Amino acid sequence: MGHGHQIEIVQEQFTIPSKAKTFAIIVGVLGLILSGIGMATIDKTPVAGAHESHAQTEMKGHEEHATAAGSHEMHANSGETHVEGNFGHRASYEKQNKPWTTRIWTSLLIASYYLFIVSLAALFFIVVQYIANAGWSAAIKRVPEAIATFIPVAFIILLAVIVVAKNDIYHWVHYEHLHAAKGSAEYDTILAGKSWFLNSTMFFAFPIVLVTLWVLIGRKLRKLSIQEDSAEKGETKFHKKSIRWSAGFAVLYGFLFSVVVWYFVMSIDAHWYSTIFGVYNFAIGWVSALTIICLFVIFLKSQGFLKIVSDEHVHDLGKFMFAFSIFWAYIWVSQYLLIWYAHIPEEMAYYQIRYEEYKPYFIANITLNFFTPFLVLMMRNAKRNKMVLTIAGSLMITGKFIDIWLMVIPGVYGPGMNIGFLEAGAFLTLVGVFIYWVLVALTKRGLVPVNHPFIEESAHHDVGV
Amino acid sequence: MIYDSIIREQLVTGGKTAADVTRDISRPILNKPSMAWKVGFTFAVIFLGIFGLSLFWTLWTGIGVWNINKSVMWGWDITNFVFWVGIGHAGTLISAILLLFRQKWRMSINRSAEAMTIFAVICAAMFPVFHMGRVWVGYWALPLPNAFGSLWVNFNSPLLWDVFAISTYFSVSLLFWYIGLIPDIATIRDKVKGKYEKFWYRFFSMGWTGGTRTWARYELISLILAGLSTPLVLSVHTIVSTDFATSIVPGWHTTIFPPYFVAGAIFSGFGMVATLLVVARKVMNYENYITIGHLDAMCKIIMLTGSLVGIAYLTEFFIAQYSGVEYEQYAFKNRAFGPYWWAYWSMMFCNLVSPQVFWFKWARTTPWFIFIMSIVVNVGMWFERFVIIVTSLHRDYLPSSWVMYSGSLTEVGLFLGTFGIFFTCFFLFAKFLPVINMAEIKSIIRNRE
Amino acid sequence: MIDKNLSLRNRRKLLLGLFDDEDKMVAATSALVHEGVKIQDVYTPYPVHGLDRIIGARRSWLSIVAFLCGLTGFSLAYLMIWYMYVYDWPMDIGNKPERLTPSWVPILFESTVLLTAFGMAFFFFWRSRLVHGIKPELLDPRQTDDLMIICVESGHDVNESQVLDIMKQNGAAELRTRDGGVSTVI
Repeated sequence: MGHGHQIEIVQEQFTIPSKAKTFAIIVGVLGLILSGIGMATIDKTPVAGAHESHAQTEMKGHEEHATAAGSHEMHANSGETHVEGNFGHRASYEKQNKPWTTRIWTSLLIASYYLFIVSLAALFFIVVQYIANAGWSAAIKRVPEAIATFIPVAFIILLAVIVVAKNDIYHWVHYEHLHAAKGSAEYDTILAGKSWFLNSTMFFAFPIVLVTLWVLIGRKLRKLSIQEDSAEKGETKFHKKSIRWSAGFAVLYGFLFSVVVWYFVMSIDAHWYSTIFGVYNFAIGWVSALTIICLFVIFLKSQGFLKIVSDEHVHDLGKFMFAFSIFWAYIWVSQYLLIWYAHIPEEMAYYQIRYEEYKPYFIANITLNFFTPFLVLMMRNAKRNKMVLTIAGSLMITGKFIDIWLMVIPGVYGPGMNIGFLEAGAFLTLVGVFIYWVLVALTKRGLVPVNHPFIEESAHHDVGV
Repeated sequence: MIYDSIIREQLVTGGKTAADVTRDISRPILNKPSMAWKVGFTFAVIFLGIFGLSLFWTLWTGIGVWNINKSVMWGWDITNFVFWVGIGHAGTLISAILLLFRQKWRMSINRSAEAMTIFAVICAAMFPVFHMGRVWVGYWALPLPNAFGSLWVNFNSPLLWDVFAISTYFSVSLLFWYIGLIPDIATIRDKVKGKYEKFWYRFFSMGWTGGTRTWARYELISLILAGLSTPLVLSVHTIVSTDFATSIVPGWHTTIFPPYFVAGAIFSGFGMVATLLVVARKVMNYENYITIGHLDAMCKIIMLTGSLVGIAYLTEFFIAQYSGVEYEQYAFKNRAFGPYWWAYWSMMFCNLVSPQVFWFKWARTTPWFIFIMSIVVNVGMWFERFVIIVTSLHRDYLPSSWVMYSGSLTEVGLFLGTFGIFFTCFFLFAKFLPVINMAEIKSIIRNRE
Repeated sequence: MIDKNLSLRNRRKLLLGLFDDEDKMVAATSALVHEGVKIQDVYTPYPVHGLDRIIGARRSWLSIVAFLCGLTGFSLAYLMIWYMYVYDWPMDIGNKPERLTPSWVPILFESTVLLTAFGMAFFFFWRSRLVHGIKPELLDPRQTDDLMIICVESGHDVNESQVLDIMKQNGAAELRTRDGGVSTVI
């Protein structure tokens, strides 16, 4: 249909506006200050571990810890037959006292894990566009590309945190070091039965190998995309190669992302299991990646870059944020509904503590991640309004942070924790680093993939109805 | 403004004009039925007869003629139900999700896929309805005041959710299909000659003339209906999966069931669409409308969803071993290495392994091979439901309740008979309604001049 | 409620431009709009993207109707479950509480979708004057096949020859006038 006027595709070079640089630095510094306040004000007496609440052995004289007592009470109230009946003999490990610094490490774990799955999902976004032959997104392609360069940074921070604090964060690591013999008081049948999967060797080897592969494919895709820029007009060789690499990445990511999630997050509640957990974490990363891509596009647009990107592209990103928030809610409900309905003690323990002891966060999680985007972004005009998108997007990112916090913290500490200066500080610090990193990555390449076979299609993009 | 990159393949080949589209696609409706149609229709009616006989026998003697027993209380019956509901998902998926994702290749196949949805849901509904035994009190499943006491239906029961989900899905799919059909019925209305034909096509075309405002509303309602149908499709198969997953039967109670069933449904639905369209494009001479490019895209989706289902198989097997729950561990070991190992490995082969052949371009572009593969996919998805249902039930917690199960002749007859229902409806549809959405095809043929 | 723009009954003389090419038709429509001519309607055999914006039709209310219908469906379903399950005859099955729980979600969702879809569809039929069995107001039997018709209603402020000229210049295959249900080819 010929009645579209020609749009000229011009390369743009991004330079970081000083305001943006200041913003990233302010976020990071604010995070550091909050962390500092957190470290100064935190109660430095050792915190009781949560895992003992799973155990049936006596409390070994640690009743004085309020948190432990609290968790004990919870189980007394709610699930009398709870743990003991089903699992038979499941003695506890030696009760551990977590040093106060564990709070710093869990805070960093949450923040770096979040940014890790987000940047990974940004790479997956590019991959999906290639596989699906999507045209509309060609104009904004450099944004997810820049975000994806953060994968190794986030992963290295995540690994560093785990190396330092794995003993305090991961109950099963602690157990592994006990070398409890069968029949001894410390022996835990369940954990012993999982040692073929949950052991320190695999814990490091598997994710490192896998993430290295992902990062290499990501770099390859970025390189192909850059080569395409300087190639002859109409050269599709690089595009076709990218499709191949994308398919490879999709397979690796699809089949094995869950395993990484099982190691890093699900194994915090080492007795618990849920088959949908990997999908759930994917949903978190995916919605967040779409949101962050959208926010970066809005920012670049407001600075006068990305001339061929119009409201139509923003509208489409808004649609994605809306749709995949519903997808997130679907996965959330699937997991919660089934566990709640069947009410099997070994599964229920996970939601018992999160629902009973963390109710405000539990509710905030659904509100920020589902009701907010659902109600705010439902109308067409909202999805085309950059201000509304920015506010909704920020709320959604906060919601995702709470979501991950809620997955991690009750498993490490048991009941009675709150989001404090440390968590917020660590999150903001890393977000500041992330923003700065992505801005720098954006300057490294031209902002417009000028030779992308679909770039003109993207420039003429119209969402239609 | 639609602007297509030059590297995109042409969706409709053969340089068709709008008039050509009308002529080609309304030909089977305006002409006398072809020999192929008559033969096919006869076969379909024969199978319909098998359904009638089996159903008569079931109602006459009672559910006892089925081989289901106290351990395997759900056998072929529910297997077939889930099988057909699964097939019933591709239609709305193609229309709705692919519309939302602006995949224009869907325009050649969405009409027949939606029709398939509706017929498959009818087939599916037969099984739970007649499994009730006393089917004449089937209305008890609805939230109506009870004539024999004060009880209402149980809102906590996934079976009741099914009643709501399937009936909503059927109604909304029918509505979606019908709204899409109105402009095409109007086209046929202005072509047919016979008096009765004129009357009926005029009746169903609702006075459509193709004004711009009406088209604008039509496009908007299609988009919103697509937006509604997408979560609807997901919810329906999710609810079907909760029939199993809310229980505490090992092998059934696993949280990945909802998305895994949805992926399986899309997979089997596309399998069935491929089966039908590979034949239809040949017999009805629609090679220019349902091109190799379309088959290629469908094969890619089959491969994708097959892999998703495969991920779910591997995940549930892995987590069962990881869980530390001996019942879960046993249930899965029993699936793979127990007496029904052949069903498990057929499922694994047909659904996870065999679609990987579509990594090769040759496999995606060779119609006869796609046809064979689509049958393999359908068989595999039937086995998947059989594996889930029978292997989880046949060995209870109590070894004294361990039994083996195989379908009786009546159960097999009912299953084969539903193919009769399905194909009878499909042949009638192909005779009286345009199999391809003419209006939408006309809007894309001129994209690149 | 019915969109008054749609009916062709009780209209003054109609000026029709018949096109067999989309681009020409769109060009003609734009040209007419540019000259300030009010276009009665353009009949096309398939949806032409953006044409409604060109002839100045307002965006439909359908999405708002859909939202309201959805809200109604949700409320009715909630009321139904609450009445039957909480108020009239509470049932204790599997020790599930008699209040809003996750197990209400499926039925609430399905009912919302059902009412949204049908409410919206009936609004669409009503507003677009689509009724089973009514006689279609066809200007030409080919308008549902491959012919596009620009339809302008004559009036005091319409310069008939100018309108017909613009259509002609933009490549109309045929020009007609229609008065009292009788078409005349020019």
